[in-house]
Amino acid sequence: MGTLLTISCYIFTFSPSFCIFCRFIAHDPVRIILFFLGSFFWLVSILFSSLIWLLLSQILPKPQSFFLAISTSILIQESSRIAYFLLLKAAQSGLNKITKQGQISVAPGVSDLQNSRHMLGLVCGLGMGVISALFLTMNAFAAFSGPGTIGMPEALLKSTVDVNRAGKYLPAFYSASALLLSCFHVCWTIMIWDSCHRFGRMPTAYLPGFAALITHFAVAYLDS
Amino acid sequence: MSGVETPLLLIAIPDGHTTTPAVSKESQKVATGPSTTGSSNAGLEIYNAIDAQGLIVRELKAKDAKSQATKDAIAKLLELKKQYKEVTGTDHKPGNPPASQAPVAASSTSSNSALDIYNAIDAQGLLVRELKGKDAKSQATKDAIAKLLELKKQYKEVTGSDHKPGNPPASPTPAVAASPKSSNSALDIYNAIDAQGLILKKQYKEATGTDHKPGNPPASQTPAPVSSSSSNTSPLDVYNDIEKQGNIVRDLKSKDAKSQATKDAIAKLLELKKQYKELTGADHKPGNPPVASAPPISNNNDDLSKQIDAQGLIVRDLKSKDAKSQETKDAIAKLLALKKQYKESTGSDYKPAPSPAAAAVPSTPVSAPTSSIDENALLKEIEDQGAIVREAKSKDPKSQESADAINKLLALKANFKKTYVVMTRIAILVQIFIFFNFVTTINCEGFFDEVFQRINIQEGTACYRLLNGTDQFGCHGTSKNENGLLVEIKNEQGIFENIGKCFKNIYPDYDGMFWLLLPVEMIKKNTVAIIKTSNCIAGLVLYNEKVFNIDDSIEASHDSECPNRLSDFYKDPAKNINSKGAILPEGLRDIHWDLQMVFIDNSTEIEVLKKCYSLFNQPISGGTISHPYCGMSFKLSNAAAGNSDICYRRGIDAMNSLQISLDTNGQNNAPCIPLVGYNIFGLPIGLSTLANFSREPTYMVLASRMDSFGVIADVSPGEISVITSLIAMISAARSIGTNFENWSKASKKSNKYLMFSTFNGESFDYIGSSATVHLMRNSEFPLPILNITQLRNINLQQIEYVVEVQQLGSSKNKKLYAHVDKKRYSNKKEEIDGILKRIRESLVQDGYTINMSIENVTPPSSWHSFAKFDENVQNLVIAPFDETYEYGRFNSMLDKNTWNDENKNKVKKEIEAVSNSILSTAAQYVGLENATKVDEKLIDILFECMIVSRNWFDCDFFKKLNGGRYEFIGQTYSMQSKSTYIGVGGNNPLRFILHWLYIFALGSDRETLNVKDGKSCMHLSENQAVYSYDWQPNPYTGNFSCYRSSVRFNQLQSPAFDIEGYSIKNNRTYSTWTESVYTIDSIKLFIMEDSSFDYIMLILAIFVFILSIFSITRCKEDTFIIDEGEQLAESGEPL
Repeated sequence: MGTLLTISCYIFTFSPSFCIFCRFIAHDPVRIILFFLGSFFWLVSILFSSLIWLLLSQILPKPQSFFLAISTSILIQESSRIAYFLLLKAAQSGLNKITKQGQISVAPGVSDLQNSRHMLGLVCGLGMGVISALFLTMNAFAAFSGPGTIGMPEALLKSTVDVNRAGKYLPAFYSASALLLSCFHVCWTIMIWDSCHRFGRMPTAYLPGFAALITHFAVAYLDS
Repeated sequence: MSGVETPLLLIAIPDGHTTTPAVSKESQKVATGPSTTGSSNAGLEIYNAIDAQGLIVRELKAKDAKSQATKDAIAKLLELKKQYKEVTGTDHKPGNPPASQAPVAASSTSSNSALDIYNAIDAQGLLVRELKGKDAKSQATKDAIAKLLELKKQYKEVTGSDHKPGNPPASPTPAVAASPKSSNSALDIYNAIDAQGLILKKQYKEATGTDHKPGNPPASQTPAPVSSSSSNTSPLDVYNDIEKQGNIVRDLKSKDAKSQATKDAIAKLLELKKQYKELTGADHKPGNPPVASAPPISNNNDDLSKQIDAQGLIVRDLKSKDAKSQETKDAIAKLLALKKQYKESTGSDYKPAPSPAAAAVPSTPVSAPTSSIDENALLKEIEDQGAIVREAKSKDPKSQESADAINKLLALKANFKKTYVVMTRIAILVQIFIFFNFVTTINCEGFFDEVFQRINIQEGTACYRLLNGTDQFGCHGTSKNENGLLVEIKNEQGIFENIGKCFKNIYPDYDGMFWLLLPVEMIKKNTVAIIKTSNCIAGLVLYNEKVFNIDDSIEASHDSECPNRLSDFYKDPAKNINSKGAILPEGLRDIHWDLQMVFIDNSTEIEVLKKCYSLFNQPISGGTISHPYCGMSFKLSNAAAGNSDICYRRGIDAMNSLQISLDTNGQNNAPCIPLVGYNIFGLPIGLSTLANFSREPTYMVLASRMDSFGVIADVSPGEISVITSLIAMISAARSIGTNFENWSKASKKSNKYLMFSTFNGESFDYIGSSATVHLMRNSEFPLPILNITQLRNINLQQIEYVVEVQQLGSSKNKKLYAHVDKKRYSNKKEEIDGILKRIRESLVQDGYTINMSIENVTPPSSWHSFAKFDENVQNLVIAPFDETYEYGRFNSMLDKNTWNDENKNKVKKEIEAVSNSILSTAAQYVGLENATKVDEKLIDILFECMIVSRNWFDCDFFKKLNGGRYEFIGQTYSMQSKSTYIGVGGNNPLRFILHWLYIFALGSDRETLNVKDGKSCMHLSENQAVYSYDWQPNPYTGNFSCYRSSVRFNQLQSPAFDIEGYSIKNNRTYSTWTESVYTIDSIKLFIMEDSSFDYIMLILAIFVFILSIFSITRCKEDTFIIDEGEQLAESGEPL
C-alpha cells in the first residue's frame, strides 16, 4: 500500500483511454471540445441522478431505493447520451463549416466530419467514460495510498472477516472494472448514437441502443 | 488625543470643592494650566509631604514619644493633613494618594504615552489590513507596515510589554475584590459599553442617570454632585445652570416670547453665561460641558472631536437604516469634513476617545499579577453575566434582553479563554453541519468510512509534549510511529517474549511497527525498559483494566524517585524518597518517548480494539498468522520542540512579527504555553487595614497541593496524592469557620494568623508556591497595591510556618510522621516542640501514633519555595511516610482505588485524625487552648464526593454547591473526568470546587442576610479588598446566600515567565514547564493487506499501458470512419 500502488492503479485504469485520446483526440481542437462536453453531459446526468437518489432515499427503505436509484441513474445517463446526440446533430452543420477542409477559416488540426459519426461517438463516449471511471476510482485509489484497505468497519460490525473479499487483489479488480467502464461508455455511446442515427430509417434501429441499455444495467447490477 | 487627558477631569473635581477664591484660582490653574507636566499638583505634593512627615513622626515616636520634637512633628503632620483635606476634599489615607495623580504623570509624560501609541498602532493596523486587502505588495502597504512596526517598537519601549490588540496598555482596574470607587465603576461601564452594547448601556444609565453617548465619558458626571454641594462657582455647575435656564427660556419663549418672565429668564441666562465665561475663560457652548476644557487641547478641538463623535453616531444610524441613501452620503461627507477640520486644528488624525478609565490608572507595564487579576475580573464578570442570563431567561427566555444577555455572556466567555473561542467556532461548525444533515437527512457514508473504523480521542487523553527550560519530554507523532499493527498484550509474558523479536514469531511477513493495547498497570519497572528500548513499537493504547485497592502494594508511580529534584531547596538532595514506587528513577514524565500513548476510558471503545485484534491478529495458540491484519493509526502532532526557552521566547517573538499578530487578534501564538493554575488562599480572618501595626502579624501557611500527573498528564485522578489531603484541609478550615469567634480572638491576641493555601502546579517544580512567594517578595500578595484600601499585604518575612499534609490514607499501622527541617528546628526548638506535642496529643486521641522526623533533608513540599527566599520559615510536613513514600502510586495514572467500607473507614479516620492535628497545630500557633474538632460528617460527604463518585458533580452535595454555576463546556478530559493536572487553561473544575468549599468553610452569611440577590452581593465586593462576597448556595440546603469570606483565588504561572530577562534555559530557580500546543487525530482502525502485490500491480499497469499503445496505434482514423454511402454524411453532416 502506498503512493506507488495508487499510481499503478491510475496507469492501469486510464492507459487505454489515454492512448485513444492521444491517437484520435489530442490533435483536433474540435474533438477535444467534444470530449470534454461528453464529460460535462455525464456529470450533469450524475447530478440529476443523485438528486433523484436523495429523493428516493427519503421515501423508500434502503435496498429498494438503492436499486431504483441505480436504474433511474442509468436511464438518465442514456438520456443524456441521446440529448448529446441531438445537440450535436443540431450543431453539425455549423461544425461542418469550420471543419471542412479547404476553407480559409479552418483551424489547424481539425479533421473533416465526413462519415465520422462513429468517430464522434468514440470521442464523446470516451469523455463520458473517463469521467465516470474517474468518479468510480478516485476515492478508492486515494484510500489505497493510505495504510488500509476497504472493509474494517463492516468486519467489526459483522464480527467476521468477509471470505469473499478481494484481499490484496482489490486494487487490480478496481482498476480493471474502471478500465472496462471507460471502454463500455465508448461502446454504449457508439451504439446509442447508431440507434439514434438510424431511428426512422430502419425497423431494427432500436437494437443497438437496446443492447447498450441492457448491458449497462447488467454491468451496474453485477457491480453492486 | 483628547481622551488621553480626560483623567485630568478628576483633578478638577476637588478644586470645585474649595470655597476660598484663592485656592479656587490656584486649582483652576491646576485644571487648565500646564498641569499635565504632573509636577504642580497640590494634592499629591501635600500627600507626599504627609507621608514624609508621617515617617518622621514614627521615627521620633520610636525614639522618644514625649519629646518636644515629636510633638512638633505631630503638629506639623496634623497641619498637613488638614491642608490635604482642604485641597482634595477627602481625609488623608496612607497608601491612597489623591485620585488620578499617577495617571497624570504617566499619561502626560509626552505625546508618546502608551495609550497614544496603542491607539496609533490600532489605527495603523487597520490601515495595513486595508492596504493588504487592496494590494499586498504595493509600496504604500510596505510603508504602512514599516510604520506599524515602528509604532510597536515604540510601544514596547514605553510600556515595557509587547503590544497586544484588544489589550490597552493601562492595567485594568476592575479587580474582583478591588473594584474602583463609584466614579470609576461608571467609567468601567463606559468602557464596557463599546464592547458590550445594550445591557451595559442600561447599567450605565442606571449608574449615571443619562443615556450613553459615545465620546461623552461619565467622568463629566461625577464632578456635578461634588461641586454643587460646595458652591456655585464650579464651571460645571454654572454650565448646568445655563442649560436649565436655557430650557426655561425656551419654554417661556414658546409660550410668550415677549412676556416679562421671558425677559427676566433671558437676563438671568446671559448673566449665567457671563459667569461661566469668567470661570472657564471660554464662551458657553451647548453640548460642551466645561470639564472638557481641562485638557490642554483647546476647546475648539475638543468641540470638534465631540462633533465628530456625534456625526459618527448619525452616520452609523443612517447606515444601518439605508446605507446608500443620499442622506447617509451627506452625513458621511460631513463627518469627513469634520475629521479634516480636526486634523487641521490638532495636527493629528481624529481617533475615537480612548476609554477614560484606561487612562485613570497608572500605565505601568502589564505585569503578571495585574494580568492575573484581569483574569479574575473576567472570570467574575463571566460568572456574573451567567447569573444575569439565568435571571433573564427565567423571566422571558425569548425576550431581547435575555438574548442580549446571552450574547454578552457568550462574548465574555469567548474572551476568557482561547480554547473557548475555538470551541465556539467548532460548535458553530458542528451546528451548521448538523443543520445540513437535518435538512437533507442524507444517510451518506463517505468512502473512507468503509476503510476506517474511527475512535475519537478526547483532548488530554493522549500523551503530548511537555517542555522545561532544557529539554522536551513526552510523546510526538511522526510518520514513523503513526501506523502499526494492533497487538493486545494480555500478560507480561507477551511483552518479554515478543517485543524483543518485534513479534516476528507471530507475524513473520510483517515488518512494520506495532501498537500495543495494554492495561496501564502493565507499565512496570520490568516492562518499561523493554517497551522503551524497542524500535518496533509505534505506541501504547492504555486502558484501566483493574482498579486497585488502597492496600495493594503496586509500584506504579509515574513520578521520579526524587520529585522536583532540580527545584528543591537543598539543591539536588539525592534523597530518593519515591524509590519504592517510581517505575523509573527519572520518572515516566521526564522522558522523551519515541512512541505515542493514548488512554481510552470508554469500555466499548476498548472492546472495539480488542475485537479488531481478535478478528485479524490473534494467532491460534503458538502459531503464526498472515495477512490481512488489523492496523491502527493515530497521530498527535506537537507544535513545540526543543525546550521552553526556544518555543516560548521565540514563539512570542514570532507572534510580534507582523503577520501573525495582525491576524490572530493578539492571542498568544507561541507553540507552547506555560503551565498555569488557580491557587486558592483562604484566610479565616481577613487582612488588616490598619495604618500602623505595633508589630507585623505573622502567619502559618496551611498548605496542600492540588495537582498531580501521570505519564499522560491529564489522566491523573490523584486520590491519595492530592485529594485526601485537600479534604483534611477543608475540614479543618470548616471547623475554624464554625468556631470563628474563638479563633479570631486568639489570633488577634497573639497577632498570629492562619492562611489556608492550596497550591497548584507543585508537582511541576512548585509553580503555585514559587509564584506566591514571588508575589510576597514584591509585596503584591494577595493583591498588588491598588490605592483602593490600605490593605496590608502579606510579606514573605511574615510567614513563620509552612505546614503541609501529604498522601493521607496510605499509612501503615496508623503511624504518621512529622517531618521537620533539622537546621531550622534548632533555631526555634521550644516553639516547634510545643506544636509537635500538641500534634502528638491530638493524634493519640484519635488512635494514631506519630514519629518525629527531624531530618537534614525534608520531603518535597511547598515549603521549599518559601525556604529558598526566607531563611527563617519553618517546615512541618505531616504525612504517613518516613524515608520513602509508602504509597506506590504517587502521581500516577493509577492513583485511583476501589472502595469498600473497610477501606473507606480507614482512610476517613486518617483524614479526620490529621485534620484534627492540623487544628491542634494551628491552635498551638495562635495560642488557642482547646482546639476544635473537625466535623466527621463533612469528611464523610467530601470523601464520597471527591473520591468515590465517578465525576466531580455527581454527588448531591456538590450539585447543590454548584447550583448550576459551572457547566461543562469543553470536551477535554480534565473537564469531563476527574483530573488533577494543572494544565494551561484553568478549566479544571477542581479549582471551582475548592474555591467554593473554602468559601463555604471559612465564609459566613451572617452579616449579609439582607442581601437577596447575586448582583447586590457582587456590589459588596467592589469597594474593598479585605473580603470577597460570593453569591453561592449552601451545599447542605442548596439555598443561595451572600457569603463574606477572605478566600481568593489567584491564577499563577511560574515567575520564570513573568520576570523580565529571566533565563529560562539556565536559571533553575523557578519552574519552566510549558505544554506544547498540539493537534490530535482520531484513532483509525483498518485492514492491512499484504503489500507484496504492489509491485505486481505496477507490472500489470505497465503491461496494460504497453498493450493499449500497441492495440490503439494499430487503429487508424478509418477504423472509425466508415463510408456507409450516405449523402449527408459524405458532405460533412454525419449524424
